[in-house]
Amino acid sequence: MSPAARRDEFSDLERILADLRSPDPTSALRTRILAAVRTEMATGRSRPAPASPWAFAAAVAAGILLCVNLSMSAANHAAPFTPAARDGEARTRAEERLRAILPSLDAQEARCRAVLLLAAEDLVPAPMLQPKPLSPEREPWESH
Amino acid sequence: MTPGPDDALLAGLAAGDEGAFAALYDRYGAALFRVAHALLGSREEAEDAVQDVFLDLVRSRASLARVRDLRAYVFASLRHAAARRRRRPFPATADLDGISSGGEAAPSVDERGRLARAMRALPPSQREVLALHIEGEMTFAEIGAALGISINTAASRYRYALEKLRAALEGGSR
Repeated sequence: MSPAARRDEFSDLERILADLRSPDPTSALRTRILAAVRTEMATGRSRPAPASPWAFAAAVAAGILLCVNLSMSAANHAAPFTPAARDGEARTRAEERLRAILPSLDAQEARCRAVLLLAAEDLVPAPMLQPKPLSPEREPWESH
Repeated sequence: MTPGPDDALLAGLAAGDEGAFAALYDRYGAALFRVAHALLGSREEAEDAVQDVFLDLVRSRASLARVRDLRAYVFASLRHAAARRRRRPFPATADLDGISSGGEAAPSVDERGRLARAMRALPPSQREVLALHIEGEMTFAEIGAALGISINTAASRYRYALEKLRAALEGGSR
């Protein structure tokens, strides 16, 4: 069906509906509404404009930047080797002690192990969790 | 960008200018009332709904500067105001006495009653589109903007509503 035919199809009904229009407001309504507006403006406060999506995006971006900044700052201050490991004297002492205990270590290996030993000194000790021993009993679903 | 016909009015409303609210009433008040009357079926409820629209405008005037289409905005606001009031049931005897019917195609009293019953039975989404098109004299594009639906959806809701009204009229005349 063409749009024109569709329009004709309901034209009679639309004419009836147009004739059945709702009433016009009374003149008192204008006075009443403007008085209510005046009262509301005098007593009420305007609601603040809702934050725009851009403001929200800017807040999220600022949060991410702050996190990145703090992470980088923390990373820069956490050296991979502790001061003790960088201290040549301490390293030499540790190296000598290692070679005294294990004379078979060559110089390079002893230096490497001394550095690792000193680096581990400042690590936070982690609890050693003992794995639960396996039960010798078989589970019901293992019976087949 | 050329300024729209409502731009000056919007600026006045946003600034809290009482004259702008009066101008808004003069421009859209009657249409708002008629649409509210068609949606709520009662003169008192319709008057209260229109007042709610104006009070909402006063309270949210800080954000009016961002409104692009004032006509769509006020009719969307009316829709919400009517929905808040529509929680009460549509009156069983709609306020038909105030409805004018003096045109050439003036329906009989029986037809008016049947039409009123059929309009009460319409789903709210179809009744809204019908009221905005007939009473608010809005195009489907304007209705789409006010209700947040596409032009095609507005047009098809209107058509479904008319089909139901016509069926109600024809059913009674057999």
